[in-house]
Amino acid sequence: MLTPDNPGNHQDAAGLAVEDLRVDLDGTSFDVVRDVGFRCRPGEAIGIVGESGSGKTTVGMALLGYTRPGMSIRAGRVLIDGTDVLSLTADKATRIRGRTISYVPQEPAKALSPAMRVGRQIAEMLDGQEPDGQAVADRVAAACEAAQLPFDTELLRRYPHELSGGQQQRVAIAMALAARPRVVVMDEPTTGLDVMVQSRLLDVIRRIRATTGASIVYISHDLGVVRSLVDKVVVLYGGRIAEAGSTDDIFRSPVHPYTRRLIAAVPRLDGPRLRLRGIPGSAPQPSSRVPGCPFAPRCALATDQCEHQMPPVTQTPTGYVRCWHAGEPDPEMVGPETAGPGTAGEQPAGSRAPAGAALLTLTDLHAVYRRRVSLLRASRDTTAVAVASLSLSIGDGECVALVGESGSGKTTIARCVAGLHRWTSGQMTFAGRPVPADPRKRGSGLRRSIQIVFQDPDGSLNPQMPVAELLGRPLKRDFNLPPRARTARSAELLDLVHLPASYTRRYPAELSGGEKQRVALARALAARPRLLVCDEITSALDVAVQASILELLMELRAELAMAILFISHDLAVVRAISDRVVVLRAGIVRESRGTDELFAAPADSYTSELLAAVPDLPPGDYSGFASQI
Amino acid sequence: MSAQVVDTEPVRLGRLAGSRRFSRRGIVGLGMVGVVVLVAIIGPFVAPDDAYRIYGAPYTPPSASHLLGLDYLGRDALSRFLAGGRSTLLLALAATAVGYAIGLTVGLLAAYRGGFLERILMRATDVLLVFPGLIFVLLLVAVYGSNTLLLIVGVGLANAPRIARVVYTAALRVVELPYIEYARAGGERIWYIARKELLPNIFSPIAVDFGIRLSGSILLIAGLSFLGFGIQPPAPDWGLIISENLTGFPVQPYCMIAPILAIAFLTVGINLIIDGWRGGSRASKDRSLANAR
Repeated sequence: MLTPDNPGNHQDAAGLAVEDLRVDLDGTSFDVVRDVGFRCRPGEAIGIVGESGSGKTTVGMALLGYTRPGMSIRAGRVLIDGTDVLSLTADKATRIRGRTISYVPQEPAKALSPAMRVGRQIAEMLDGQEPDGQAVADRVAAACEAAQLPFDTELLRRYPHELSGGQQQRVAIAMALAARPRVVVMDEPTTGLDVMVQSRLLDVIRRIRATTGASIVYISHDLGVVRSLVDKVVVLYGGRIAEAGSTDDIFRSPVHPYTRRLIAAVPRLDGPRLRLRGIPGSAPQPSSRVPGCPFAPRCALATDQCEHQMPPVTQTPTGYVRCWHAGEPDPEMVGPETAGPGTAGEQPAGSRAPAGAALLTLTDLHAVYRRRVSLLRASRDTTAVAVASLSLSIGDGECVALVGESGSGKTTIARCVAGLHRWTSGQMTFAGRPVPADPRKRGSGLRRSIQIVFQDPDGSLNPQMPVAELLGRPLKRDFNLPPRARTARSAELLDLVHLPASYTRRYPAELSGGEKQRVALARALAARPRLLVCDEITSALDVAVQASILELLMELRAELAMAILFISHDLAVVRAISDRVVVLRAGIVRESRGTDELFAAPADSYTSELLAAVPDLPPGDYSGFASQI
Repeated sequence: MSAQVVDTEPVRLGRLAGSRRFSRRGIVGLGMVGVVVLVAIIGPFVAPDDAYRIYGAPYTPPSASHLLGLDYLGRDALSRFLAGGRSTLLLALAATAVGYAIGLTVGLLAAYRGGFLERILMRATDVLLVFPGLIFVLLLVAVYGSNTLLLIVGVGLANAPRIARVVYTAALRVVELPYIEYARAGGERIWYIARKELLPNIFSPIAVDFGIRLSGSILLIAGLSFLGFGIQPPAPDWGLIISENLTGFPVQPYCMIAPILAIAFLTVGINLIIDGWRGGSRASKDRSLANAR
């Protein structure tokens, strides 16, 4: 049971208790995090969820008495077995980090010292705790065992760069567990890892929880992962707790409008293929929050009161919620049943795929990756096969999804199609005509017809160009439009991706991740493409932003009648958007079928494995539609 | 939603003291460089005496009529100092410009094209990097004799491989970014990509490098003049003035103090500007935090 005001007033003080935590931006009165409190008993796991910018990581670090530069902890208590971490002297606080409370960072590759063997890094956590080398070695072995690292001296003698991403993360976990801490804070430990690797790592974390008796604080924006892992959930928005409660309650019957929107934005593997809905707008900066409920500017239920007055805390069966309109139905969340047949809700699955001529065909395509070995002689470079003998076709207006783990060759295919990678043999045709590999040999018409949107929103846009120039360039280059027509068309394109025309003056640094992807989409649409290649365009985005981008993509597809080659590792996302799915592994097609048939009964064992690895929300969870609650 | 979207363009403060682009240190540097440049530009017009005329005995100490005294031939030291800045600065600028013309081209081409061309260009650069700048120019002077054009080209060539390396390294991180790939997929020409997509995004390291190269060129040219291979007497030039009067240092140090200070001011000033430059581009700032403060 979570109580907001005094979570530490239990008789037994065992475990972690956080009270009224507040972190401020230095030199200002802006708070990054405020009034955050929760409790996590030994052997329990609590999830902290929210969008980027919600203050998740700030809370996680504050539990160790630490903040990023430019912030400081202004108030609150963090009690571990009754001792307040925040009141300790700097010296003592340093000593408990890693021993009483430890931290598993998001990017192990950056958190591990590249110059030290991993075995020593684990042993270092035990500094001075054990009398002799043998005892240290035993503890390291135990930590490796807990993190399911194969305990062999050979592996421990390696340097971090000699390990895979999953192994690096396990080393980081072993380091966190080595000193047998009471509390382990895990900050997005599986983000950026492959689905299969993630699934194995989550098993490790579950076992740790069961065997070590430590309290686990799991920070993530991935609701599927959190759902499958923790007992209690704290939903953070704008640095404040919006809603807290048991995992089942939060996911089955959320009452805060934000929690509802967030859960409804998660693509599902089961149930009807519903249209995803994002949350309009983006999370507020500490400096631009309204005095009342931070979610008010984006909330469909918001009233004047919401904007100006912080809502009081209301108890729920297993937790509490901070909202003036808790539990009221959201007028924008209308299901297909109530909206009547034929409206946005149900996707016309499969029906769109035309039997007519193929737009793009790849026949027997081979592509390799070069690795540089010699400084001088290119002939000594080694090659690795990325795509082997691949054949694929995309019909006019069809949305084909390409899925697979990292290294499956899906991005290489996207790059070949876009003219960024030279294939070694095989043919590509577009609308019946052969496509050369070099984009300069493709001719303007063909180049325009195939457009690509990349995964990384930060790298997709030249940071030195305002949006007007980013969109204006293809209009000038491909259509030779005069300046005035370019301005008009840019505004039209921004409107198409639901951004205001005033955004033409903005630079990429002034856009959020989702807005950057929208601009990248607008730039691709500027060429009026017949085929849009989307290379993992949502994998760097939060779930709510992902939903709104997918929503937009479906809308654009219907409006502009273009074909889409959608590349993703996330099967739930693929299910929401595609007509047909092609499953790739190690550069070879394992299965290629209509989306509905594939998800109903996967024919290939590898597809089933991939499906099983997706941390999905169970069918009973809140979906936003009355008929399903 | 869109009502909240107001233009957040900051008001550029005109006052230097409140500059967003330079820290206090950078402003001090700007002041130091400004003074030296001013001396170089207006110096010849305000010089009290003829820089070439002999007024008295060599190494005459300072007096009311010759504030810094006379040099080794009896010429007015102050007038020679005031007249000598222009050639030093112009030569250094020209030499740095030549260095950049070559270094930028080589660095960008190697990074963007990659493959065989990259290997050839960067290995050639490595070979040239082996020669210290001074030795390299001396070698050229020994073969072709000393003249102004050779000085500019020689110092430029000495700088070029170092510039190429810096540009290449900076560009290497950028060429793989998706926005460059987008331009490539769109069939953009290399000239456009280099000018609009690459250069603006590696401007910061290049601006820093430019300062280092410029002060390096000044020292190199002064050093060459000092050794007798740069500017030829009787022309007034800061480096040359120092070298000519060196033997008289114990008797009349004042005739060389001004050019020494000027060169020191210039190099220190340039380095302060580099240190104090905050990167002027709007795109490079973390605006959310900047706005919050």
